[in-house]
Amino acid sequence: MFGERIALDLEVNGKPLSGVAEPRTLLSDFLRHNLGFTGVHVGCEHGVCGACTVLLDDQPVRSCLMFAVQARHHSITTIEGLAKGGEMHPVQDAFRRHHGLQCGFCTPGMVLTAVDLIQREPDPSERSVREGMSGNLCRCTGYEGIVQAVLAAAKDLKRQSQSNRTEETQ
Amino acid sequence: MKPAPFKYIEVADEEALTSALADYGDDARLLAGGQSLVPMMNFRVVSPEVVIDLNRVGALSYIDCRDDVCRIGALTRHAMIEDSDPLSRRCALLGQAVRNVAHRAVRNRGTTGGTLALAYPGAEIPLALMTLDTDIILRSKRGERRLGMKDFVLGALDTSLSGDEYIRQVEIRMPPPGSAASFVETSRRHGDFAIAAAAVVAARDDHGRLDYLRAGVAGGTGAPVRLTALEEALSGDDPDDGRMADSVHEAIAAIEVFGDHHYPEDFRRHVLKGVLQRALKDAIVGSERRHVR
Repeated sequence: MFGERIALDLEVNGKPLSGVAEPRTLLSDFLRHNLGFTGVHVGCEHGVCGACTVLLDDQPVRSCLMFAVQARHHSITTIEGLAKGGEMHPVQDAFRRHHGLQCGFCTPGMVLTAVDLIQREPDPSERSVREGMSGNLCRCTGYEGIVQAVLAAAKDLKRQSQSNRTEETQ
Repeated sequence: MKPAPFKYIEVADEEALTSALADYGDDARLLAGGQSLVPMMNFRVVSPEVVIDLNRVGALSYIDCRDDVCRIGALTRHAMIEDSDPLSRRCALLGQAVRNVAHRAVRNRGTTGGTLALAYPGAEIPLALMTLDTDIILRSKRGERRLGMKDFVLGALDTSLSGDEYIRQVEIRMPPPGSAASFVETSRRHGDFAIAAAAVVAARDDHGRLDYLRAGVAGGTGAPVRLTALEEALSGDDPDDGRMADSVHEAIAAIEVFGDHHYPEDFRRHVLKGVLQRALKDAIVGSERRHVR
């Protein structure tokens, strides 16, 4: 049982990667230590703080509550996968503009949670943003900036998709 | 905060699952959503020798509503229930309950079978299922059996599951058309387990009389409790505030409630009465409105 190691293939941020892990290795540790995605922040390790949130097949999950072997043949998005061609993702940009981070520890989980929230609810109320983000803790207590950033990002993304649609029809 | 080593077995279908459970039984834990099992393993509250991962048994993940029955596979994620149109149309109570379960990231993994197998006293889905008319289908190499919720959940963290059995399916008999549901919970923070929660579904006959009433509470009660005496007392003509308050008082006085250092027994009873009364009012008023329309 000790020392048993399992080979695994998975996709991270669009790239096929592989590695070897003990069955007990948490996905969060595997992403950080084996694959070097240090944007996966490890906080409470029991699913309460949300800092280790990643997207598994585009759905947010706690990477500290999955074993690495369970991610075989799945695709994962970490915070490192959001920016495209040197351009920040609109949610990241809104966090910067609205002071949605102080120490930055909770930020990767916050941003990935917000990306999914806006995708499911493109025009969220402040109440549903507060509820949707409540599974991610900010120990700097910078929630005002975070909520403003998510609301602004939703507006930006909506405007962006509208202008894309106009371009398509022209 | 890291789990102890274990032997990992991944099964791809129910046959392999049944055999793995027959082989390892009590030494094994089933890994479904892992949203309670993995934290417990991280804390080393549990250190199973064998973990049987059933996440690739796709045949256990479905929501199938037909006629008066909804069947939910044990591996169905909470988020699937949250997003299901047939369920929110026909079984609003479950949809309301599931929105109180932790947060979306947890609901994307957590499963119906998992929350039932754990039977945590403040858990929302077991309460909703206890309140509705629900059967649980269990399976092992020895065969299949069907238990009502009351015979399945025996107490806090205690169920009728044998070591070689798994939960296969949940079967809910739907409330009648025109029913209204209300799930009211008090917790310290949004997404926490309930300090106290109440679930009520009400419906009326052609004359507007309450002829279907289901009520249950959880939080400090061990297993969730269905309040059948209260259901009988409040059926028929609409209860006035006095009759409702009396019935609520009697119902909560009659059940066993545990206190702890955070929430002493009398405090829990007080909160239980509050959430129950609110849920009753919501559901009864809601069903009235539907009848008028």
